[in-house]
Amino acid sequence: MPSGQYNRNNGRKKRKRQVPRAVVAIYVVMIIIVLAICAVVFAITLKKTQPDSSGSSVPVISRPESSSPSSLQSISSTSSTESSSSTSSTESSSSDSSWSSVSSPQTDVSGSSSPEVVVPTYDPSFFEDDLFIGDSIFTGLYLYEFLDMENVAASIGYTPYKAMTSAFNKTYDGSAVDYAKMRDPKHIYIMLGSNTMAAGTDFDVIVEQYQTLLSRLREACPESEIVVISIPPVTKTSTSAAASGITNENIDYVNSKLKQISGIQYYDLNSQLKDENGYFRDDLAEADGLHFKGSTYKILLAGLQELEE
Amino acid sequence: MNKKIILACAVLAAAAILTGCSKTENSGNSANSGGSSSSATSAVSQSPSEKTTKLLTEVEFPEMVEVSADKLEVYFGISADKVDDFSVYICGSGAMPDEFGIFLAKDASAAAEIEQLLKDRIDYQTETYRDYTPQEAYKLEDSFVSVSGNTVIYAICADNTKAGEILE
Repeated sequence: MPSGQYNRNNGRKKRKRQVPRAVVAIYVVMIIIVLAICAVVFAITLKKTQPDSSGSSVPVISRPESSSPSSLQSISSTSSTESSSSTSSTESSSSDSSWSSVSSPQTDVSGSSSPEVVVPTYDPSFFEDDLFIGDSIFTGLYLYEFLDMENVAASIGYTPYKAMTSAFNKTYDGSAVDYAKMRDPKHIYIMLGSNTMAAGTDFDVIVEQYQTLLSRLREACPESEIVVISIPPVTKTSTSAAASGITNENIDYVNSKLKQISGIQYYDLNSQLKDENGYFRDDLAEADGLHFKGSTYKILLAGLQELEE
Repeated sequence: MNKKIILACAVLAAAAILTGCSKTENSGNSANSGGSSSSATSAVSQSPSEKTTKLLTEVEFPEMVEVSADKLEVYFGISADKVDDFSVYICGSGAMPDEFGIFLAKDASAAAEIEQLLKDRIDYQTETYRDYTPQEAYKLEDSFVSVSGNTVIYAICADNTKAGEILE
């Protein structure tokens, strides 16, 4: 029997065969690598499945959950990083139309700041017997579901002239004046003129058309109180306005003429929408610098309610 | 002794590999509603709402509003009882033609009807915005309506190609 061997049964010692240390080291290294790969894969997968809470740039307005007369559901929005900064609304459960002044935000069109905009509240049921006549801006009143569609006679491209002659949507064949006559509303709120200005119509002609529209409405709805809302301003960088030749100076001129029309009430919405330089505030304007963001409609409705109360 | 160590390490490695792979599958499934165990099919199992939410984060949009069921017929002429599920967003201000959506129709007939209604809507919007905001016309030029089985998707936005990839 070879030396070094040992058999327990025979009292001989058996030499153990040793694995080279290098092989053991290789095994250990391989195991560590495998464990590291698994850890990385797990971490990546875990990161992908986590919700994005880094401040979504999704510009979304959630719908009001109800049109309860006693409260206005909070509408939260986050804005695109390229457009106005994010806004938040404060909600009051009171049906009182009182509201605090809208704070002047630290506007930053680059989106690097997120100013708070205190948005007033209104009672949706206050307007259930009213009619809003307007252009594409007013379509937002029902698209955002601030008002029922039946309370809005508005259409893209609508003008004072079209309000007398043309249908405003596919569900009703008549004009806004025809619809007002059918509805016989308590109040008629009108905001028109932007499209007419964009078409290059003479400003005095715009006022004449407006006066004609108002005459038709008085005739159709003698009991209705008519409120003319100022043609809204445009932002400093509005490409739509620039392309159309609309300026705030021109808007102010037309508004000053509308204000002088007798037999109507004039509501100066622009005082709520302008910044210190006389431009439409970027945080209240849509990306084209002319249309409204969701929160702007609330400013409008709260102001109208306060006007009437 | 060395063999025992090596064997123990091998078992540990196998356990780690299996755990990592298992976690990968489970994590992928948790992001989806009732998805299969395969991450490759997780996109298919996403709900309409999940897909539209994803699209909102991947393409630039103006302020958008989600269309409620009671407005489906008013805006699109689509009866809510024709769909099992849907998610649709439109531009809230009326300023731009952006909108998109996904409909899970109840059957092929409903899907065909929805497809035609959406095509009619796109035609109407094209006519409306062509003169109103010519700078937005490009969104309508390559807009689409697509049907796959009982699923109908459509989009009018700044990147309709990407919208199609996400909604499909």
